[in-house]
Amino acid sequence: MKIEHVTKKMEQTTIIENVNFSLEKGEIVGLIGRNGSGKTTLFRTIAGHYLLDDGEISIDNQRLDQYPQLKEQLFYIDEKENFLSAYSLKKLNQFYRLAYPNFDQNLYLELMQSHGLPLTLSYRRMSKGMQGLYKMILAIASNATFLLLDEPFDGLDVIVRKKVIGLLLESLSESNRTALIASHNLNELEHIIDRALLIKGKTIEGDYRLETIREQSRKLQLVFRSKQIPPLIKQHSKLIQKQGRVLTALFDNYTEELAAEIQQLDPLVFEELPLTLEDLFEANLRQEALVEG
Amino acid sequence: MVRINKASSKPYYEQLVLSIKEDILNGVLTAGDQVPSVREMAKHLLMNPNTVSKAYKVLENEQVLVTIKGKGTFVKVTEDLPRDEIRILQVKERLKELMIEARHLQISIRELTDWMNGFEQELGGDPQ
Repeated sequence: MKIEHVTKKMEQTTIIENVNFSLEKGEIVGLIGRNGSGKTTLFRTIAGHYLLDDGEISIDNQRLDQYPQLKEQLFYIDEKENFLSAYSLKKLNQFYRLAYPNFDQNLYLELMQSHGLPLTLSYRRMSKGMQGLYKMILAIASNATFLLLDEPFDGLDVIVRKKVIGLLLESLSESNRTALIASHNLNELEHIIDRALLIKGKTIEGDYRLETIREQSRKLQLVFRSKQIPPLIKQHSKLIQKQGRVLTALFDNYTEELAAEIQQLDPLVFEELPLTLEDLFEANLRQEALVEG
Repeated sequence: MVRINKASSKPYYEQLVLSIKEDILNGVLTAGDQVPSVREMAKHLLMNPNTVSKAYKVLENEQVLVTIKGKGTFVKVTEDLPRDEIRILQVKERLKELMIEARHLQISIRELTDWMNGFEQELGGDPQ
């Protein structure tokens, strides 16, 4: 799937502008950004709930606006505006079977049974955890190629969360399906995604391959004798924190040569710390103003 | 049991590779044992399946695991393997600790290498 130069305005205000990225088959991609940064608008735009002001979205070189049947390949449930609460699970099942011709009814029944969900309940009478689980079961059984998941782990207790994540990973393993997951739960997200897209200033500003980052970048905790930050450190890193003499810095391109050069400055403390998604988020978005959701 | 240490700065696939090797060394896994499929492992560890798959590929390349089509992935018989990378790494770590001690005691690198050469002679020379 390709998203090219996508722009969306709401009542004269630009919400997202010139967004470009592509999703490969078999990938799990995280969409991260601050509250109100445009994640939901981006999802709604991809799902076709909004008309584009500019740009195009295509799957296998076919534009979504020209080939509406491509929507069978997209699964999206709007978190705020959806019709689920008005119906029973039985009715919802019928709707989704109609909307997705490849809906796997056997898998649906099997997952419902193995997770102890009754087939006839009304959606609004389920707990939040059951609803989260149910939405994931619908997503998986839909057999859609692209799953757009907006905060799928939000508000779920740890047991349900693990079930939901396990379900997702199991169904995406060894298949060619792709998930785009927006989540503020960065600790959970960083284990399950291949890439993180960072949305900032109305557009996608960063595209990080996490395993590559874990290989190439380092977070170091350093203490030097002098209170001044050595120029070498300033030049090669983003400073995350400074507490007295203790520096925490993020080195994007960490090499053995650089490590040796730092060692020559004779630091009192030189410690490698794990680099997390949270660090990337904070290092890039701390200055970003909070916008209304 | 395989596990991922969030406090480590190593990439996850590398941690998984080491973790499986460690299990083999400890006898938790022995030659011929079946390991979980990528799908089962991803679900068990709640980890990206592509990462698990990458680790399995590395282990297959290093002759630690072998995948038999239609049957699954198994621990390979390791008897005649030339070098044991995990133990080599452990030795390196221990050597580093010794170097730290040595520096504190103001032992020069020259002295250290002399000793090492001496020990090697005692042990009958370089195996290679």
